[in-house]
Amino acid sequence: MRCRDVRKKLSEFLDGELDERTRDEVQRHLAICGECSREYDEMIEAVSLVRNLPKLDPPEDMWSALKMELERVGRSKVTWGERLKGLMTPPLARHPVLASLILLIVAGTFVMMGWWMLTRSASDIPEIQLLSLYVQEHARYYSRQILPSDPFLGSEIVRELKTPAKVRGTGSSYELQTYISLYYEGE
Amino acid sequence: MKVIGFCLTLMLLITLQPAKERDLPDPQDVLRRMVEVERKIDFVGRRLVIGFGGRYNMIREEKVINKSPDRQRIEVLAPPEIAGSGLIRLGKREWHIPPKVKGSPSDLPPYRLGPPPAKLGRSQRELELMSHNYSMKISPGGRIVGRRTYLLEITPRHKGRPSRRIWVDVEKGLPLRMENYNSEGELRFLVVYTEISFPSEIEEKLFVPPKRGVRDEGRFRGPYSGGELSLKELRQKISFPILIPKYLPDGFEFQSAGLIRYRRREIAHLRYTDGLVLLSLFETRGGRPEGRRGMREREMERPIEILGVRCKLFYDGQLRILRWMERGINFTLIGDLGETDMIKVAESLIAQPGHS
Repeated sequence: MRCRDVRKKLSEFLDGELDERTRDEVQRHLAICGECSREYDEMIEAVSLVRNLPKLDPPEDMWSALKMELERVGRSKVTWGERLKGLMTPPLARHPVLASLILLIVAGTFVMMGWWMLTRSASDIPEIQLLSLYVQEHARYYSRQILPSDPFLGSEIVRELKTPAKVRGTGSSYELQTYISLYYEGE
Repeated sequence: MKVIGFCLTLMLLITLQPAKERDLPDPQDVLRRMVEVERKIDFVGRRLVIGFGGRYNMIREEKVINKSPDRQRIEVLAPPEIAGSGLIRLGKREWHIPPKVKGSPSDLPPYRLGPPPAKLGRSQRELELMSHNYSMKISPGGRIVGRRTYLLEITPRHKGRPSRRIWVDVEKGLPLRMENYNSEGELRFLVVYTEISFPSEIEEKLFVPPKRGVRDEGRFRGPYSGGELSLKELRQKISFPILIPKYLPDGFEFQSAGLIRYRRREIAHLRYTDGLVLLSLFETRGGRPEGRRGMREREMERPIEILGVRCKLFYDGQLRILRWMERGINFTLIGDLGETDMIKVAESLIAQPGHS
């Protein structure tokens, strides 16, 4: 068990809520790990501090006051209109012009984005993306030839075009075509 | 007596030699058998797959489990970056298993691990073309992983075409070693089995795709739904006039066409073949000047001028890509052909009326 796991379980350990196996593991860890053991000690100290606080009796009229308050809340019926008003109050109700303006901007942004998505021309596709699409299509059909192309066909070009930003192992001679989306389609 | 003995020995040698040659099968029969072998036999093998790129050498080791007619499991054993990945083929469906490398992107696209088992039926015309455009020679190929092989050599009858050398298992018809050479005669690809066995039974459970960490290949088809159309069908479906090359390299003929719809763009894909090589011509309307590009891409491309039109030629040691734009149409020609042939095809398009 690692420190991180042990610390997550310290509270349950303290309350005796762990199963036997986990409890043993935590115990073993605490025996060898100074830092976790220190944290555990601090925890015990805090708990004992709370436990040792003097007990205070509530004032005599506390229960009757609480009962009266509960009855008052139960009697008052809040209408939906009032609730909505409550929601609207700060700050929109106070500044209706500002609220309308914000609403207009948000709606306008959505409309503009939708319009742009619908009307953007085909020429928005970067040439690099098109070229890699062509290479992939070519390789896909080549793979259906009687003697298929080798599985690396075009991978070097696509790799050059689509080198991802974060590739683990970049620079290794083995990195190869791992991240190239060339594929075959079943017949 | 000595003379008689000598004559007898000579006669024996003469009769034996043709007998040995007669034992060799017809190269086309070997090829036919080889094409469909994965649909016919069960095998378990380990193979090295090496690509000799212009810049990088690419290598991986795979375990292949093939159960006829349509079950296949390929596991990548090395390199470590992609070890544990692979694919499972079950009939027409395919599942790709991404690498288990910590930190790999979760949406890792699949990479090619070999084509699905082929059917000869649709390839008869290709075979005819191949035998017309390439010479096929067969000879004893020695032993590979302890098994007797034939060496099938496919060499082009025309300049600027690739060639293949394939070592085929005599008994089973499985290609145990294959070498691909580019149009300049340089070795670009090698696959060789280092272990092979033909078990009498392969467990079906090996082809059950794991539930987690596996993606169906179908998800990646995305917009590439070119399909196979005739030229007439393509012309009916596409919204702009397409140009057909007037010149094709010797032995090439039209194979099929496709219409790709990609992000509201229509792309015509015309495919030509000589039986071995595939030549693709893509035509699409519009385009824009290329944006930010990497240094490497600039190194890979070479500007050339064809009939006064500025073109770009890419070459990665195997594929040649020729691109140009004229009158609002973007042309891209792709093939593992010699430069001369590629330029001639482009010339035949540029010289057409309607094309400046």
